[in-house]
Amino acid sequence: MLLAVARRPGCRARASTAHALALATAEARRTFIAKPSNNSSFAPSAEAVNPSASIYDVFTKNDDMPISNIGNRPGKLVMMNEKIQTDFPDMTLAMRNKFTKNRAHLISLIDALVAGQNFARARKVLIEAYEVTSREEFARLLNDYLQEYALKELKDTGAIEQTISYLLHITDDFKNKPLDPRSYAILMATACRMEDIIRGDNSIKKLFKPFSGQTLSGYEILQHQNLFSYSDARRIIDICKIPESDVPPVFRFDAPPSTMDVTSELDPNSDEPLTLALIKAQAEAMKEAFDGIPASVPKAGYEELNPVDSIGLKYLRSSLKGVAQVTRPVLPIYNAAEASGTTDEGFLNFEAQIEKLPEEEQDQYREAFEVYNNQRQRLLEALALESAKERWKHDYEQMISRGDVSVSNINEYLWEWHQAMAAQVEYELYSVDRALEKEASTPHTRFSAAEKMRLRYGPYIKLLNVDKLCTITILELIRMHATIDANEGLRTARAVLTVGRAIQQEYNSEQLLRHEVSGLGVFKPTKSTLQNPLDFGRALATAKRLNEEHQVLKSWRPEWPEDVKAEIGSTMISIFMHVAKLSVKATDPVTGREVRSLVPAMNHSYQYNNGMKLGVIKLHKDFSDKISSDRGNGMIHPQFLPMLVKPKPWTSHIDGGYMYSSAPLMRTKSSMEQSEYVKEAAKRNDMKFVFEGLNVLGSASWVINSRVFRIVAQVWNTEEEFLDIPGKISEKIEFPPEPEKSADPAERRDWARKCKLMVHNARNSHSQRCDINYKLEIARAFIGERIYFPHNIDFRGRAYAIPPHLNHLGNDMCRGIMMFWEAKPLGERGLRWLKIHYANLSGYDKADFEERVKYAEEHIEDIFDSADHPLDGRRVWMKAAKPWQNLAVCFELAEALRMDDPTQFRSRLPIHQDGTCNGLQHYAALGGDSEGAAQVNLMPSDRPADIYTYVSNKVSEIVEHDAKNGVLVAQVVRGKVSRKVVKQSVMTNVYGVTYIGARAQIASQLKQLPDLHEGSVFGAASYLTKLVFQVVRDLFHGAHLIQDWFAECAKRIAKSYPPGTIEEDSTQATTAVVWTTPLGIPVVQPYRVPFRKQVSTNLQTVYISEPLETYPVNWRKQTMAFPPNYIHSLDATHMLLSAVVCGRKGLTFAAVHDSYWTHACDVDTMNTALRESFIKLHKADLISRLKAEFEERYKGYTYQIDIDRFSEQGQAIVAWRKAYRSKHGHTISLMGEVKLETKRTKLLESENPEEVKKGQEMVTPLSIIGDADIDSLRPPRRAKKQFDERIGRSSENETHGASDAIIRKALGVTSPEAEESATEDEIAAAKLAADSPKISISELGANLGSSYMEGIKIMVPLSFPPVPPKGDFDVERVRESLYFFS
Amino acid sequence: MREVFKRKLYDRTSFVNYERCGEILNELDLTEVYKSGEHEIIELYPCTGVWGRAVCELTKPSRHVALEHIPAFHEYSKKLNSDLPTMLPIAVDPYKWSVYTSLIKYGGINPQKLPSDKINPSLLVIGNLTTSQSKQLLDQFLVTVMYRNWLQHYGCVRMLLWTTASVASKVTLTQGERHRGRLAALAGLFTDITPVATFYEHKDFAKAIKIKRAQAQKKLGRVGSDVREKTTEFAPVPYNKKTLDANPVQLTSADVLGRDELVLLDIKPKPIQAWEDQVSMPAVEYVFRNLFILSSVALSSAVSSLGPGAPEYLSQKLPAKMMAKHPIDLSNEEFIELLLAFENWPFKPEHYFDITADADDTLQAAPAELTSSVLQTE
Repeated sequence: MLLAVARRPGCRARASTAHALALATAEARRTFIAKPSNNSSFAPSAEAVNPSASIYDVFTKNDDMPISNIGNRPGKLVMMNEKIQTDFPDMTLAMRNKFTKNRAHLISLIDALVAGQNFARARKVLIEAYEVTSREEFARLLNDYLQEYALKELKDTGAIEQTISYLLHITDDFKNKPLDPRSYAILMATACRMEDIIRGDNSIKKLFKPFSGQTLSGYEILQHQNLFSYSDARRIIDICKIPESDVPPVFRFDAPPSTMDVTSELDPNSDEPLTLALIKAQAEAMKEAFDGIPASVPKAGYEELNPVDSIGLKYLRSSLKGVAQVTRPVLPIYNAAEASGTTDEGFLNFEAQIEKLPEEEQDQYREAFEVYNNQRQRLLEALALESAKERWKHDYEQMISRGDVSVSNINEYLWEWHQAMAAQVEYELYSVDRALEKEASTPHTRFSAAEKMRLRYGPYIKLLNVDKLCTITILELIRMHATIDANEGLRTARAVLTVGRAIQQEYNSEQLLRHEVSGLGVFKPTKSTLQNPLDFGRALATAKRLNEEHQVLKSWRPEWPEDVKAEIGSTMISIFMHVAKLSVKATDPVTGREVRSLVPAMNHSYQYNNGMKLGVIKLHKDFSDKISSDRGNGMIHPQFLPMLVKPKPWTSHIDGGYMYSSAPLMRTKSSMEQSEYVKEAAKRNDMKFVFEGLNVLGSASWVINSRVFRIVAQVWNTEEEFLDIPGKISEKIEFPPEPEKSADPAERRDWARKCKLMVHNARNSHSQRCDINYKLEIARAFIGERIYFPHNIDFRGRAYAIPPHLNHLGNDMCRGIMMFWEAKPLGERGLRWLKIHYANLSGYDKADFEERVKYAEEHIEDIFDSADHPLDGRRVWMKAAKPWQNLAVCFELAEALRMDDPTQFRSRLPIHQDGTCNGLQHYAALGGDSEGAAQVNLMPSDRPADIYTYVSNKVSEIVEHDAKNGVLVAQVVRGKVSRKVVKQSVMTNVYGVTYIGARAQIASQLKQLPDLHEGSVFGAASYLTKLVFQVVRDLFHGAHLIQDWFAECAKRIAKSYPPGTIEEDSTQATTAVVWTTPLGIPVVQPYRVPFRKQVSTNLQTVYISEPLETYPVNWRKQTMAFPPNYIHSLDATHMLLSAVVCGRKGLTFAAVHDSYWTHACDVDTMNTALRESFIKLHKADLISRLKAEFEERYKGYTYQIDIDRFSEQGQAIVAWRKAYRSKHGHTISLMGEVKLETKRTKLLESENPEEVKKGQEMVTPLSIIGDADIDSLRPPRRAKKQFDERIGRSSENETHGASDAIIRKALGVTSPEAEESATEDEIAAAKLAADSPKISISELGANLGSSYMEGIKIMVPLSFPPVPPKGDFDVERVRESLYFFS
Repeated sequence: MREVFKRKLYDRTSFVNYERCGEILNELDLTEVYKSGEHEIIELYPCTGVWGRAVCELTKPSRHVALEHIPAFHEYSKKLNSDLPTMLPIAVDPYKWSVYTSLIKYGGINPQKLPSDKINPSLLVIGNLTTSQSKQLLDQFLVTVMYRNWLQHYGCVRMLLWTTASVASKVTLTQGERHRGRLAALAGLFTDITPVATFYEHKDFAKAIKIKRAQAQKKLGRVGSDVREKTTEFAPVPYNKKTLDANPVQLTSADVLGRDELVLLDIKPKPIQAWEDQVSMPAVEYVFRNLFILSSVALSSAVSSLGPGAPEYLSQKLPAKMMAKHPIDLSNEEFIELLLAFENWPFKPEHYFDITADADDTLQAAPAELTSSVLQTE
């Protein structure tokens, strides 16, 4: 990855011919970036979509940026360290890795040391870092150091002059990296603290002198507003004579007075760090709130949910208390609700109520509402940890005061453990300090292993206080335990890393909060604002607005090294395991008496999993029974909850979403490479439309559908099974009686299997119930609240809501209990769409729209019945395909239809428009397959087409034909091919399902058919899979050619080497497939083969792969995954594009991948928008563009191919290599050949005829091949011999009937039972299974690609096959297709 | 014969040298136990049928049932042994438990149920367990000895099984040997196992030397011998004198059809022991399964796999000397002591189902994840 080099046309165009070439390619690039001349556009106002507008136009009209495209940029994306590439071109992978890793470690170490105020060591490390970091990075590290040092010195000694001269002295050490404005700002702010005013003034003057020498303005210094108080700034302005025009607004003469009493960060008079003060103030406010509030958020009129005997819920509830913060703004609705004593609807009818007020008051109330939400959002995000700890303490104290001996509640334990742990952690920190002290005076060899480990993680672990460390560890362990399959225990490697990460994350949030508090420009909390919540909120809201405008907030923190995280995690977990003990009781089998014992709550052991020995952490059953009841309980990280305010708009790769905690724009699996690309793209402003799209998704406001919620809560509390809510499981599973000891092994095995299944199912439904409980509890807390879901994207650009539990992407129930916050009148069309929606959710979605409307109208009685008597009526809604959502529609429809004018009904329900097999839609458009396009509704049609039915019909036809021609297997499956049988394989065909995979899918469907003999399933599935593949391939001919093209390109890339690298082992190629989506997201396929390194921790050694290192790619996965990933990146683009357009039209827009949602009245608008987006997307020649991007991106790369050893050229190369060996005494390596080739090319391109002649005389493998077509030289493909394991292996699970019959026959027995079964049939079936057609894999096309080649390897320049021809389908036709998305 | 099976051996390795059968049979005391016409033989996977023929000719059973489901093998052995009147080849797969149920039900064999105090002279099991499934099958057969079910229900049925060297080494390692695992410990507790014949000639001896020493030993020399002693002597000749004494018959590649190194194991179930009544067999399975996960740490830590609190409890109940030993070093008596203590532990697990290691498709019946290979969300 680190190999890409900045390439600017200027550098490349050395020779004039090369220049001309560069110009030509630049021209070519411009041509494929579709930029139609038509300049009509979507105006931000809600105009009708102009069908002829281009998406590129849409974006270029208002913005100067064209749609980002790698092709029209001066070079490709610059990767992290071009330094390495240029300085040490011959570095091996291992060396490069060491270099990067070292650098990243140094950065994070300095950050930790500075934050931990270990300045002596930090200074040493700074000197090391000076060598390897970029200028920008180093400046930041140095400035952080200066600032923290100054702050500490000011507080401790107050010796200001010495401090300044010390700081200046330090900076002298770093010659080529001079001080930047921030350094000067820090020094000047320090000087401002001098008691002797005159000396202070002099000092400032002296400092300003070298600075102004760099021809920078005073603004550069004063822009670091957090460093200066108002008076400091004015003083500097006066002394340095900075013109008023250079002064930031806050420090101007006429700045508003409210900002004048702010304190600067470098003010030693602020008695403690602001963060602490703030948190304290909040904690106090919260405590007051806690004391008055029962265990669950009060919601008048809503039953409390019966918790799954749970403690986790209590944490959740206490975390959620942020929602119920005490002082609600006085709004008319509250007066009404409280007076009448009716249900607490929260702010559900906020808008309706507000509208009743006189206009001048409306804004005031809205403002109050925003401030109130801002305030609570802050509490939600900042206080999760505190509240959990408080809760344990509370319970513990309760237990003590009750004088209870038996501990009924796990919370009481938790507090005790927390206390015990704190003492141990204190001691650990003490040991760390001792080790660190010793370090200065003792050589490293004299440290014990434990001490060495402490030296490594010491600086990091010290950054958080003991209480927090313990709380995080406990909560994280509990939370993790709930997210895993309880059967397996926690994998140690995962556990230690997760705890380590959580600790880092907490530290980052702390820092963020601190920066947020001090760095917001205008807003600096003073004591007075902290004491007055309303003032606080208001100030915060203002600050937010300003922040959004200026983007002051920067939330970058370096990543801690993985091994440090693992070590910290394991230290904390070991301590926890050491102290956490449970008292358990059982009956002694010998004496029959009840005994008690103290056992560890968690123990570390090993187990085998698929033959691999795994270290696991297991919870004691009693402990896990108490806590496993709730999935995802424990620490409610703020990122797990919806937001009360509109998410922070995305502005960079790490800025956006939550207000006070950071989430990355892209979810990556700790792949540095991906995030670097995204960072770079974001920096270049390539991703602004992605940001815009995500902001549209994030600004969709939601509210809990309280009517549906009430029904869910009611059935939940019955604790019985209901739809997909499993019933409550009684604690003890009633196993069937164990068979006799001497019983047949088969009988014992079946019994064990049955019991295991029971355990498995019980655990499953238990955890499912917990999951639902969790969702409902969150939903309940947010009833009547306006909520938002911040979104981010995965590496292909697909958008996801960040809060994982309750969101609209969830299951039917989740979707059922949510609706849009905003209510919009239905109108005629809206009413119609609402009816269609009802039909769709009922499962009646294959008919045309008129029929669906009619369907709804025919079911009016059912709708009213469902709405009025959801549980005590006929319960028609429960039989619907999506029952909970169906119920929600019934409520809306019933209410609307009861109005005099239903079109006036203000609807909140999202109406869904779903793509028909969306992946195939994109494929059909790419391949131009008309027939396929028609089957996935890209073509106008009176009725929706159904691809699955089409395929199943086609397959049936072939089966029928074969059966008539005497094909045995066809006769067996005749009449058994249904839509259901083929559906899954057709769907997954797009996503590159293999023949084996598809066969398994079809086999599992066939197994469910009652009249198909078990023995013939395998043969039948093999036969049908072949047919399904054949039919789909015929239908999507062009698309399949493209699919093959994708795979071929990806394979070549993944096996290629950047210029100048020296690895030549084919398993060492490090080139990943990278492409840019039409919206500008660089997609980097993450599939690599990490080397895991062993890290020994206190618990066990764990294997960790360092995310900063470059690993060889997994070329198979890169190849297999590229086609589906590319299609996903297109569907993601289509969605974000539609989101942007809908957002600009003022629609509320939500999406679940290929299902787009909006208000009923806006469906038509959305439909137009999404069709236009699709057309514009596919109007561009995406595949040619992709090819051009590849050619640009992988220019100069070489890749390894095999050519036929026995071809003329093959023979010649073999001979040449032999000659080389005898001449030079060693064989030439492939990379040696590449170097030779490079030399030859250079000579041939030279302007000196002699050199050219020399070049022509050189012989290399490529010169031998000359003009011959390389593809024609490939060795002949041979299909691999297939070893039929199936016959070699036996299967106990196969039907017994057949062997029983064979034995009877062999023994000549006719038993009475024998007559019941048709013996001959069974034997025939067994025979059929054995004789089923063996399909040669090579027949089955590129999906299967399992053949091998023989030949000799040579390196050739990376090139790509020509783009396959496209069919005649015109994507414009989508515009008239009614059922494209429906 | 090699030509006949040239193309497909179905992963099997079998003994095919009829001339040497006598040599091997001489090492066994078959005719002393199994009297002519008074016993029956069940043969699993006869493959070519050569070995089965020799045993049948020597012991003259009243019936010899050969269970073989692969058509090519079935047909071949049927033809080869068509002159033996008591031989009954049946084309079914002996992997299935139900096959035996049917066999007994329809009178295919009629074993006598005898007390489990000595080897049952009415029934002999012979077979070839050399496929990749064979360790699993051998494992299950050993478990039947533990439960005294399946054919062992009739009382201590002896088994003569061909298996591969790697599997044989897993079963026969004795107390103190480094790679001794669960299976060997269980086998040692319930049976007496002796290797009767082992493969001697290595296909590529120079290469074998190159393979890491320990690996080569495991492959070649492990079987039925004291490994520690061999470690020092392992050089050009992989078997020392002691090994040769223990394994009188050495096979060469000329005797064998297939890729693997063959070993013939003679498995004699031990007479029923008094402690067997005091311990539940699922508990025995559980203890062995979990104990050997940490086979080379002291028992005091290794027992942590038995459940939370187990180290504390067992340290009180068992001698400290024993707790300091590694599981591989425990003797049969010590295992029994451990099992009895475990059985009396009040806080032992409620059930012993091993849910994790189960690759059973009944538990993983969920349809194949559609796009798991490409979806990369958290």
